[in-house]
Amino acid sequence: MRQFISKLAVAVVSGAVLLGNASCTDLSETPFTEVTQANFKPTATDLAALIAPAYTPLRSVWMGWYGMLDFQEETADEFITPVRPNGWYDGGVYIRLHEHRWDPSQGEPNQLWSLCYSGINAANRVIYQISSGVIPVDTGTKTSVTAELRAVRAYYYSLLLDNFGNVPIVTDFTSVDVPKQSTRQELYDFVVKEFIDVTPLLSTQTGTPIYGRINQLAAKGLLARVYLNASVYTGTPQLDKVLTLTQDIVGAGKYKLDATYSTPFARTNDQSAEILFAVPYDAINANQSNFHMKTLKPDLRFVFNMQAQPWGGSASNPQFIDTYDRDDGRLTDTWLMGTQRDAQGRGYDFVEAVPSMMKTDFYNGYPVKKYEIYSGETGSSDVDYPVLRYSEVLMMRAEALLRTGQGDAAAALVTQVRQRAFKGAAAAKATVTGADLAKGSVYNYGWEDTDGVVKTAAGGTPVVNGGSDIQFGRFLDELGWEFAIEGHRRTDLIRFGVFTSKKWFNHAPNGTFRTVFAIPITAIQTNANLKQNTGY
Amino acid sequence: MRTRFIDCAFLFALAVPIVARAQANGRITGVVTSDAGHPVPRAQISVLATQLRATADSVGRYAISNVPPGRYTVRATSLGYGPLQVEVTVAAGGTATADIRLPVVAAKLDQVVVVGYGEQRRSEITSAVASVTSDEFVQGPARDAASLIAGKIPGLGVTTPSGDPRAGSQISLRGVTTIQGATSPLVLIDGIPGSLETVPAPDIASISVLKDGSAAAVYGSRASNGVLLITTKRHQGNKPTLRYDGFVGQQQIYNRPDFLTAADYRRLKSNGMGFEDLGFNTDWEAAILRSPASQRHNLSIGGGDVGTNYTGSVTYDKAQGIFLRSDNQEVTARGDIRHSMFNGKLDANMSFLSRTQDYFTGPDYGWAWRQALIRNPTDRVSADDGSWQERGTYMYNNPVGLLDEQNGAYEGRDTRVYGSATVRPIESLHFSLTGGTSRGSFLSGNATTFKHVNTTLNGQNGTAARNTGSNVDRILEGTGTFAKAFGRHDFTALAGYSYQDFINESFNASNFQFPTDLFGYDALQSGTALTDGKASLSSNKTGYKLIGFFDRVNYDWQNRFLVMGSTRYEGNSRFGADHKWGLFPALSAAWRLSEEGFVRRLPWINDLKLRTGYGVTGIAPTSSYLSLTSYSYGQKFLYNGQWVQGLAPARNPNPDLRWEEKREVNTGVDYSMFESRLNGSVDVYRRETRNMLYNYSVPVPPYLFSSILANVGTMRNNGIEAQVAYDVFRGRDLRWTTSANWSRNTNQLVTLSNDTFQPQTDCFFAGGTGEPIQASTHRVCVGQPIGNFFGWKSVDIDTAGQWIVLDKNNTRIPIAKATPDDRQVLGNGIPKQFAAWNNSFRFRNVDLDVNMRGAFQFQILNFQRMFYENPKVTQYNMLRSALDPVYGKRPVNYDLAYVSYYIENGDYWKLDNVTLGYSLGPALLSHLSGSVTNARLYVSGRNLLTLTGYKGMDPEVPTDGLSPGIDQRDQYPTTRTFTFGMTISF
Repeated sequence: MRQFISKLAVAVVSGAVLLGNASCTDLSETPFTEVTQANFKPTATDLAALIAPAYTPLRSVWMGWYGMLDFQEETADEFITPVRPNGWYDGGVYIRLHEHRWDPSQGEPNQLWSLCYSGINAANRVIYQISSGVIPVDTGTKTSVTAELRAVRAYYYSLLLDNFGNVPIVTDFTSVDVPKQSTRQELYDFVVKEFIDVTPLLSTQTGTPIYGRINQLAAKGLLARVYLNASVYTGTPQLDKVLTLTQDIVGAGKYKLDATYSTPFARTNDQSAEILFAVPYDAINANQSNFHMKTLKPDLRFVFNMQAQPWGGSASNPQFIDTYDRDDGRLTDTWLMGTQRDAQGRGYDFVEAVPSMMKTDFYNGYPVKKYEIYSGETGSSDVDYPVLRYSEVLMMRAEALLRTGQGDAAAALVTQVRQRAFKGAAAAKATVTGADLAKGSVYNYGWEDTDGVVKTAAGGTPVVNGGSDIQFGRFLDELGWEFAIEGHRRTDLIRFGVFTSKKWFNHAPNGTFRTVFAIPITAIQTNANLKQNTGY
Repeated sequence: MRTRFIDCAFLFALAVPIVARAQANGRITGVVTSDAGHPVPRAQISVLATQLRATADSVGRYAISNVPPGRYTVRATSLGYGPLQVEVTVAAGGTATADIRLPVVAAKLDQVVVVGYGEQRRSEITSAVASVTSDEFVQGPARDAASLIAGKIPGLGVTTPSGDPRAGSQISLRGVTTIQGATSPLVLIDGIPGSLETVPAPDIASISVLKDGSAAAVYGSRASNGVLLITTKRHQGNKPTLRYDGFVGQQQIYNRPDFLTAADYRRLKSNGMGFEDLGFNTDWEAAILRSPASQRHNLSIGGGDVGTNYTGSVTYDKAQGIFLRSDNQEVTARGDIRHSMFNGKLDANMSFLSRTQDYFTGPDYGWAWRQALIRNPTDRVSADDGSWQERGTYMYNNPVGLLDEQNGAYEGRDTRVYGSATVRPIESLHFSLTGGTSRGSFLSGNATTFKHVNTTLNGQNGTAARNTGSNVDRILEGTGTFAKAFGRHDFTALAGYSYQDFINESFNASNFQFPTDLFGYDALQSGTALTDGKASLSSNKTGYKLIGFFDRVNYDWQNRFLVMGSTRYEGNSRFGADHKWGLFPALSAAWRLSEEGFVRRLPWINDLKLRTGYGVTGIAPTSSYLSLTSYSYGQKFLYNGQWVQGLAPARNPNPDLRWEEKREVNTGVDYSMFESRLNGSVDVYRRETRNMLYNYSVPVPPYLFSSILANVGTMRNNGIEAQVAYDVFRGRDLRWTTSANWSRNTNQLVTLSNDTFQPQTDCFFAGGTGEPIQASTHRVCVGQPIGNFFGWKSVDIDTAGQWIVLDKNNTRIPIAKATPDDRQVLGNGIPKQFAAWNNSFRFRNVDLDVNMRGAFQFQILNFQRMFYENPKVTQYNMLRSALDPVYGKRPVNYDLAYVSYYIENGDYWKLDNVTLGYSLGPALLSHLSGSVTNARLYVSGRNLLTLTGYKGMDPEVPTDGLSPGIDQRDQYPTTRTFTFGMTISF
């Protein structure tokens, strides 16, 4: 027994040594493929890497799956995603957008919400890291980078302002509180103030060094866009401020219209002279752009010698196609029309007519070709998305002039924009007058029945020129032709009072509250401070 | 890491004082086996007319020392066996051998069962532990260890939803207990962690399953999904043996779906259906299917003596799949050396296992199968120019081309080397130290030729990829056991320490745009896509550690009252800094009523035991580093004309991440009556998972990402399990044992919130139809069971062929007007009840085993019908039933949609296995050759027949995870297998 006790003692002591030896109970972990506060001390050279996450969500925002190019257009009157032989019912998700029946679960706006806050979070984080000295930079860099991040953040908030209205404003990265909701007016005031505060501190560079980022003139243009829609956001127009800001941009003389309409949408559009702010895409380095896959039909792969087989769904609304002047070069620059076949005959003969949202063939409706389709194109496109073009600056200025009674001055700018669209014999058609712009819309709003006739409702009486009552409707048409499928249409229709009042294709108005989307269900469910937007 | 590991090993070695002293005297040693040759553990050995006694160990070995020279009668007894005695002569200082083969009277009752860190007699067990020995395994070819016990253990569901020769069984034990944690059980092979595939089936002697928490808690954090203890066959010393165990077999697809033929196409086209007639006739299914052969050969040897003996085996297993080129080949070599010295005071054991696995990596067979099903039967396989006939249709490839133009090989290698030493300084005390490593690595390659669609359609000019990975698991475990009887009190105490670390590494490279397709994946550098930045290159490394301290005490009062208590204090590096460690206690007790006088008066009761237990086990997250604040390089950003790597937070760190805990109460009864003819058990349990890991939705900001893995929520499973076995005939010529088991489990998600996380919603969605339907299939809600199908409830079809569904007020509306709010619960994909019925007949030399099992009260979402039973989609082939009227009215004229019409009852009853065997009798054997001790031939059929109302290929679909009961359209079809096998022992 003594022997046993002594052995037991040895065991106990050894056991204690075992426990005492930290290595036998050490459970700390160090990841092999991530950087931690312990092993990473950022320096000024890491700045580009650190500000990247503030900008990169924009790639999914615009031309990605469920991006703005989808739902800013599918909710409006130019563009539809009907059921195709290869699917595209998808549980009714696109039809709900078309019919204005979306709810707080609708994926597209919900993705925009989370992408915006992801960008806002990243901006807040880097602003905090710079101000707290975690990232050591000199004072000049500190000022300019902070200003740029605030401008990016203000741009995200401007998207939230336009799409949701009443959202939380968060600027402090260190705050752990669940954020409070702001009103649309508060959000508007915040966005305006941020843009005004940071504009003087932003870079005045243009071209490659600043391409894909916000410089001083881009900030002015983005702010002008907010002012242009101020009457929608707050009920108070700010057209004089639009005039001031657009004059600043025009006066700076750094941007001009490209010679051809297609240049700002070319694969090499980073060389475009008219883009103030772009989201750069790259098939290898920034591969979120797949809008072309959504609109091109499967066999167009052979026609364009693409590497990927497109999924083919979305196409033009025939009523919108009808509004074009057939001599307007933008019609064929924007839409893929007629016979599109390869040497072996594979492809389609596209027609304008689309029977209904529920039943179509591949050839019904025109796919979008505005963003260059090129040989060898893969599932992600190289074409950059132009967030702000010089032509928009001119058109914003024109609209502000038109709405402040300066129709002829407005018409001069619109003519300037139209000139590259009407060539040769049709060149004279480029000129418009103030009186033209004061007219109603040529868009024949109404229900497009399965027989291709626009009616008051399915099987109803035919409608003729259902857009004549729209104030400055002709100017709205000009916006439609110039900015087709650039993700502007929803905002423009709202500003012109059309979005919740007119019928088009298989859409009928479904509530004026639909000028903003519902606060996403996921946000409501995780933040008890949020109150759902009226009507949802 | 390495030095720390060695440190710990060294320290532990210090803790184990080795004391041994050789003694000079006569000995009697031997092995106790059944008359069938299986070891009889814990047999009582006595030398008549002396006080010399011994108890055989777990493999039937015994040794009696200090035997004066002379002639003795050695008697062995064991419950369930008839006693037997043999004569033996002991020379001075010599060792005499007395092997004893006991006749079986009633097996089971006193069987020794492997439990965690030790073994116990069945009668001593206080918790729900099931054990199946090799005699009782499902006969015929086994895919892995789990399929040996399919249908044998109530509460343990074993399903084989795929016919892929590379796929294993799926196991579920007592319902779904976790949402985000690991779901695989802990598999220990002779005490060392492994997998169900590690050891070839012929090498397995028995499998124990620790079902309830009180049994499993000693394994702490890895034990929530149950613990499977696999014991391998080991030679018992003495006579050298040689054994061959092999089979050849053939498979066929269990059920071929009925799609339209070319003739159907033409007939329907003439009736106005929008099919395209391409002018040919092709049976696409037949074009890629075959009747494959499989074979397995296992050769094992054993020898040595009681002091040192060895077991070795080599297994070759080659299985072809039902699709062309699909295969799997495994070669496993095992060796085990046991060494005993100093009169049993030192035991040492070294074991190694080397396994290689080779298969054709090939295409995604599920995708190829889909292509065969949907391809136009009027099309042809090859075009006039010899290329594969392709068409431009969306997601549409020639399946034969997919199979033929892709080349690839996978080679996996596993090496396991373990050693252990046990010292017994005094009779009642022993220390064990076990250590070793398991290293796995694989290298695979995959390439497509210039005739593959990657090139012919996608212009990639050949694609090739290589992947390699390695994992190293190291373990060091030490235990001390003290066992002593004081009068009527019998104590066993165990304490131990366990250290394990895991490192996983991987490297992947792919390329395309090759100048030639001659090199396959052997010259990745000859492609240009990688240098152009278009192809991918990646490597990764992760690791984690698990450290545990554990102890267990068993107390036995007169084999009448039994108590077991254990604790495990375990730490896992994956948790937050302040939450690394968790305590997992267990307590269980049993009362053997059959030892009480009032039951003893009932002679027909042989054994009756009541037992109850409570135990806590844990589950850890499946990923490392979740508690850390860290950044990873990710999306690139155009900065000054250059693409730079962005650096973004890796996750929402959760420094409070801690153990998920499962608390389980189990009460049961074990019984044996009528001369042990009737045996069985009944168990009732409640398992409750707390602090359940869940990817919790959080607001952004303040969070960085919209979800965080946190400990929220509670899940509950209640169930009952029963097993009964009856020896109908016990004659010398005729034996028939029939056994049945049944289990029922109900599951409920109790909460999904805690103090920190209060969700605004009680539900989340799971599963998905995929395109083009794009809907989630399941919804998980607080207060409801896991596995609820959730969608639109179809009730009718209108004259236009559009679905009529119920809205949220149960009003009939056309589906076009239905909103997501109108969705409702449509069924549940987890079977509520499982049952099995096993029969074993023996008439003289002929044996027949029949296994049947079934699952009941669950629904299956039939994807094949949902996608292919729609005459509107005419660019793809469809099921013949697509033309049948829906709800007795007319075929569908609506786009593909997820509605309840495609959800079917999945109840099934399967004739799982029938095996007919013939053993050569002793007379015949001696006539053949004196050295053959045993020879048996058998034929076996698996998955023979299914009674079910389910319309799909096989109702045995995956029932795990959060979206159970989905019969995927790309499911590798199940097979029916026939085999002929043979076992010969020398």
